[in-house]
Amino acid sequence: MLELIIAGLTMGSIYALLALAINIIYSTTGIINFAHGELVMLGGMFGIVLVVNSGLPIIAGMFIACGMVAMIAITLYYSTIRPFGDNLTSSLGWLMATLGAGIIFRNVAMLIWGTQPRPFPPLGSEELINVLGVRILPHEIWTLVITFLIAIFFTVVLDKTMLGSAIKATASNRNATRLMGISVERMVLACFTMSGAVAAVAGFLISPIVFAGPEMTATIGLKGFGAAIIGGLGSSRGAFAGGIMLGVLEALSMTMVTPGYKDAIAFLIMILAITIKPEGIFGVAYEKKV
Amino acid sequence: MLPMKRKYDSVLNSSSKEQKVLWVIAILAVLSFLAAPAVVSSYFLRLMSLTLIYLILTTGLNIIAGYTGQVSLGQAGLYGIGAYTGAILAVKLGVPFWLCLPAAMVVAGLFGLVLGAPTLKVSGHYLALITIGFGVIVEKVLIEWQSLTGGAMGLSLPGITLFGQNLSEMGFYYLLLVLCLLTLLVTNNIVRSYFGRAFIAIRDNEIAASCMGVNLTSYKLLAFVLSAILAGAAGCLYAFYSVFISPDTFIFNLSIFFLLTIIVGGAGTIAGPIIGTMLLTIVPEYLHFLDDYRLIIYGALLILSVIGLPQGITGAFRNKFPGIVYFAPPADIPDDPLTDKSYELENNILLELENVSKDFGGLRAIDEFSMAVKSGTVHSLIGPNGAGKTTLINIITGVYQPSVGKVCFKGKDLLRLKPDRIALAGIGRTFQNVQVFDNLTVLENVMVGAHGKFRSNIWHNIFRIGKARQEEEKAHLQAWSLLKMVGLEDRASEPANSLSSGQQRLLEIARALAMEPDLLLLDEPAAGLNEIEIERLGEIIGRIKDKGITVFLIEHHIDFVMDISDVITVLNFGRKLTEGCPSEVQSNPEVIKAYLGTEAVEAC
Repeated sequence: MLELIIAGLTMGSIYALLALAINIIYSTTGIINFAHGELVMLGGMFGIVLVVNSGLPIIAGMFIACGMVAMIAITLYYSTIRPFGDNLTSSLGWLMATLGAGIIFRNVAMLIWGTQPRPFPPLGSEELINVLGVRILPHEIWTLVITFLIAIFFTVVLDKTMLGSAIKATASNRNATRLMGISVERMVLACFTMSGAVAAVAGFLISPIVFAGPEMTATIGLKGFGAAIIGGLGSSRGAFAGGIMLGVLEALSMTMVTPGYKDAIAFLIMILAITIKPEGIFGVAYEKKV
Repeated sequence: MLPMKRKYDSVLNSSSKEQKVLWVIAILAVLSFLAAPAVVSSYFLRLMSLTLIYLILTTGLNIIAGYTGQVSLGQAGLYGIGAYTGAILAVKLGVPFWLCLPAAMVVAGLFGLVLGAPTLKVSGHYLALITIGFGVIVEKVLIEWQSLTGGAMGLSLPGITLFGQNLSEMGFYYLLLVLCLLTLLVTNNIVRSYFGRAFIAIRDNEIAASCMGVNLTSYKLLAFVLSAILAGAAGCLYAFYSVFISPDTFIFNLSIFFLLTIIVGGAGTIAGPIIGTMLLTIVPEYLHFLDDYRLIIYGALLILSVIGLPQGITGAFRNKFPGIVYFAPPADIPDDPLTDKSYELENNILLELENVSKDFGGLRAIDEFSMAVKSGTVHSLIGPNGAGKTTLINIITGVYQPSVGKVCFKGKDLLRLKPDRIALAGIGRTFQNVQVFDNLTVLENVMVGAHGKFRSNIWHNIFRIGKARQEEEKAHLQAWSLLKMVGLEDRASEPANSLSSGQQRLLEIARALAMEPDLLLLDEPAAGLNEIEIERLGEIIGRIKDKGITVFLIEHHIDFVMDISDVITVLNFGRKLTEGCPSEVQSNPEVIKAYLGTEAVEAC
């Protein structure tokens, strides 16, 4: 049981890490980047190139990968979201476009690196340590800690700083935000940069657990969306809680069904959560204005 | 024989040149599909068969994603359910194909109902995620439930027998062609009926649709079920056609492919899925050297088409040749579109609000407001900006629920009723921020208003028999007549968003009148109208009143209000300031204070 919960916490923190980055983009644009899973995957693949193939230290490799994925996230913004202008919520063009970008990223990665998943060095030592009688990798603890720190960072940025207010203002009314002398474009770019950097970190943290390969985030990416929604889109606290919750519930469900159904259970939880409480645990429901 | 001939004539005469060209193209397309087996190789024939199977599915997907605007990325899951239902029945129970097909349609339809249920609460990206999740669940269950599905090893099926003989490749092709044409015919008849107009109304503007009496829940579910039934049929056909199925066919990428076909072809048109499906199924066969890049190309195509060609190929054609959409006016348009609504009510009160309050968070927008609207009057509501006038209309029409209080219409309690029920009870409305159905034509916009008058069921409309045809004819004539009344009859075939905002306001009035309401709520109808249009509006309101239809009017043009009203209620800060006939209200010092302020009043 405890083993399951710890395994669930590890996967949960990964989902949370994705959810946090998905959230930061939602906070400023009101949309979901459906290519986010693929950005994470690219982070992992850059890790393979920089750390495994070129022998850079993990931390150095992670910083460089953060920069690279952030650049790709910005390109993604200009090619799939920017063309739809200010009124993003009125159509779902961006949804299709980001989905399309995800397909491109994944298949280009397959062309370059092949489909074979590869091992990836973990953070910290490779020796198992004993926590409450369960043997785990230090990497798993690192994953949880880093996710938690990023969640706190985003909460502080969004709720306590001027930048956070400007980001949220951008989401609610772009023209009014412009009239306040805030560059909407810069806010959106700042968020895509942060989101890309966090995606790269996620890639480095996930790869040692699931192996690095173009398909590594095929379902994890979707669960990241699920986690963000379960917690309540726009809330960093919610993203963290939603991710952990989804991970633990998914792990616990393994006591009842065979492992092959794991993804099915996770998506069932997501569907139920969206249907029952679309505003999420930490979100607020608003009455639609006419 | 005679009526047949007349119908034929009227099609020819009432079509624009572009429409006639389209007819010719459609007939040529059907002929070439009929002749295909004689000319093409058996490899290409297989490809055409697959195209026809996909086309059944994408036509269904178009109903939900194109017409109703609810994105479904789980269609491969429904397709898989159809395929496996057929396969399992045939393999495990020896059921013949002819029974497997309807069974697959029913099972997939039921799953469509389940999948559609969340749309009652969510749409947009939430719905996209739900449908993606559904697809993944189906895929996993197909792999894991080995005792039933054969797991990853798949299932092998027997062929189809017809009169004791195995159906040949060519026979199967013709079977698919017949079913495909049938699907297109049925879909075409549905989307051109009041069902289809309700679907598009939901896509373009949910709130306006429900205020026209469209029950959002049942129409969204209906669209989901229809698309699922067709996906199930396509799946079952695919299973029998390929004689072997395995779970790796029914994956998320296939769902994206299906959606891509309708986006490229043109969502929300009959021809869209046909063009898109043929293009994306047949063309890649000639580009085998690009196979490694196929998915990359699909991804790029997805991005390029939603950005560069958001309405797809058919949309681009429609913009180039606007004559494709054309409604010929009826021979003579009746002058009087309004039905007489004058009747006696108990104490003559049509609408009554009692102590209604509405809070938005900490703000009290309406504060213990009471009012009675007498039958047959023009009753105006005036008040400074932000007084709560529109909120009041939204409470009456059920868009908002009041925090406390009671709303009675014709003696019936309206509380907690959905907007569509209130609309059908006899309350029509227009909107302060114009809410027309942008992509429907002007004429169809008005016909959506008549939604509640239709009694025919979906079968009547699928086969276009008696009742459906009569109702459609009647609504059509009434819509023309209403357009003539508001002076928009020569814009009938244009999309509503091409009208000026003043014309859109008039269109909204015509649309609300098509509901044949007892009470008409007009929210600032004169805003953005020029002097001549305002004069016309005054005449229209006069005609409405003459028919006994009660008008409840919100307006800022005070002269206009004073001229036209029997009773005026003044609202300020959510409270009733005063009520009375125009001259009383005009001289009331409280009203003057609210509008002009007094010297002591603080600056705004």
